[in-house]
Parts: sequence; structure tokens; C-alpha cells
Amino acid sequence: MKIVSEIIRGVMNENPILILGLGLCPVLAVTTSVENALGMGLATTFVILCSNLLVSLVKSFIPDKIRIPCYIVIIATFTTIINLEMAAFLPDLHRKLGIFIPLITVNCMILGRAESFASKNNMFNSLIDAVGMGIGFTLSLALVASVREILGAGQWYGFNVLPSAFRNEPIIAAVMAPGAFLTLGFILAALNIYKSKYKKEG
Amino acid sequence: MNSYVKFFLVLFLVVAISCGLLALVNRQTHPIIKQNKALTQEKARRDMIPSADDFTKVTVNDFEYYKALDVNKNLLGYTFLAKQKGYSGLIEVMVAVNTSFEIIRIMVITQTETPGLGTQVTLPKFADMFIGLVKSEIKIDREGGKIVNITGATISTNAVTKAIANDLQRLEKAAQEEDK
Repeated sequence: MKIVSEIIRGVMNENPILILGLGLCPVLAVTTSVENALGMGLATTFVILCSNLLVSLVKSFIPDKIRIPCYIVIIATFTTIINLEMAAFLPDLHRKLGIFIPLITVNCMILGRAESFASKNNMFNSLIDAVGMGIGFTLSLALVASVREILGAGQWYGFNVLPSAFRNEPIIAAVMAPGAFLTLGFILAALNIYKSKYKKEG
Repeated sequence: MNSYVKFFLVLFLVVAISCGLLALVNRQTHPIIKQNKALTQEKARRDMIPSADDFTKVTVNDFEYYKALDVNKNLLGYTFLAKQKGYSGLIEVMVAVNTSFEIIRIMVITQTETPGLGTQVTLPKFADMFIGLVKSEIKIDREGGKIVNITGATISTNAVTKAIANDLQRLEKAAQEEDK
């Protein structure tokens, strides 16, 4: 039961993007379509799983003063691995995500979890934390991307969901950079309204 | 002093293991990535000169290009891959020219430019400027050419323009030499 509640913590109460506000760069950059968002989410999840696991494993060998460079090397290694594997096996997705895959290295969510969780907890808990964070990150990305893709292209995951009259003249601003900020802002606002009401009634 | 030796050793070990792992992954993925790239280029060549039936690779003085031939083996034009360092890494542009070396189309194949700024060189509004140009016209407008700089992406624009101009010159030379 604890495993499930720990994973839910990463998705809900400590959602890396919507609550902790970590790793916002990819949220704004790659959420033009749900396909890109899921690809980015899964790639990031892979990196955080591996890095949390490894950081937790080696935490006692690494002197405190040089822990950050060590973590960065670990994260960069896994990012490079996923970058090469995607280039080899998912070339189309790799081309679309472009520079943002190598930039997973500097995603502050991953370094943040290594520093604040994996370096203080055992391997099993760190793995569960990474699963929760990964799912939370991927779902948040997919949520932002859903809004932007539906408004900006009339499609969801490449399928037509709105009538062709709309699709021929979609709200292009939604898939441009300002659309990302607006969408994220509205989602955060809605979430805060919901939370404040929930608190008062509870 | 002792702790510095330890810092050095730990970091060294971490980096050494990381390098070893990456070397392994690279050995596994390198041939596949290379093959993907060859396929992309093959597809780009066909898209640019759709009437071509066959592309023959020619190498003259280290310069590689492809001759586009129709069903009757008549020469339709040439394609080559122009390369130049951009703002943040290598830019590779596939260029197709006809037999009088006028550009048919260009297509940016590889780039790691800044999203939203440098990446505009991949857009049709940039690529279309090159259509029909000959070597002497492939310069930035302020140097007397016909290419208009993209605001905020001067380096990327210059890189693509220079890459095409340089390699077009090499192609003209190489094609002449081959004819002899």
C-alpha cells in the first residue's frame, strides 16, 4: 500500500511540474503535440529512474563536497545513452525533440530528486520516488500538450478531434511559445482555485 | 591534502565508468544511426529531384556528390551535402542543382541551432529564397547576394549560405574535372 501512495505522491501532492515547479523548460518547449510530450516524458522517466537508483547506490562512496559533479556525470551519462538509443531506434521522434533530449541533463527535476531524495534514501524508495516523479512529469507534459494540440491543431495524438472547419483555421498561438506559458498558467490557476476551495470545505 | 586525493580519485572513477559505458552504447548504436542517416539522405535526394530514376555517387578530390539520372541515363542535375559549423554545432544542408548549376531546392538535414531563432533556417520561407539562384547570387544581401538575413539568426543564416556557396563551387569544379 505504501508503494502505491508513494507513487501517487509524485503524481499528485508533489507533482514535479504543477506543484514543485521543477523542470519547466521541457514543459514549455516540447508540448506542441501529445506525441512529443509522451516521448519526452518517457525519456526523462528513464533518466530519472536510472539516476535515482545509481545515486542511491553510490551515496555512501561519494564525498559530500563533490557530490554535485558526480550526480551531473551520472545524469549526463544516462541522458547520452537515451539520446543515442532514440537516434538509432526512434529517429523521427528524435529529430522532432532535437536539442531537448541532450538538455534532459540539466533538467532540475532530476538533479533535484537526486539531491533531495535519492542521496538520503535507500535504493528501493528512490526507485519508487523516481517512478512517481516520472509518471507525474509525463502526465503533466501530456496535459499541457493535450490543451495545446487540441486548440492549435484540432487534433489529439495526431487524431482529428475537432471538426475540419476548426482544423483549417486553428488557434495557432496555442502551439507557439506564448501558448505554452498561457496554457501552463491557466492549468496552475485552475489547480490553485481547486485546492483553496478543497481546503476551506475540508 | 588527503581529501583532495580522494576527491580526484572518486571523480576520476565516476567519469571513467561513465566513459566506458558510453563507449559500449556508442558501439552498438553507431552503425544503426549511420544507416538511418543514409536513408534520410536517400529520401531527401528523391524528394528534391522526383523525376530522377537513379542517383550515382561520385567522388572527386574528396568531394562527394550524386548525379541524378533519369530512366534513359540522361543527366538531370546534381545533389550534394553542404556542411558548415553553425551557431551551436554542425549544419548539414542537402542541395539539388540542375545541369546549369541553378539551385532546384535546399533542405536542412542536420542542425542543432537555437529553437525558434536559428531553427528558422529549416523553414520554407528561408529555404525557398535559394530556389533558382546561381553561385554568384548565393551571398547575404549586404554582400551583394540575394539571401536576406533572418533577424536574430545571423550566424545560422550565414552558415547555411556559406556552406551552400562553398560546396557549390566545389561541385562545379568537380563536375568539370569529371567531364574531362
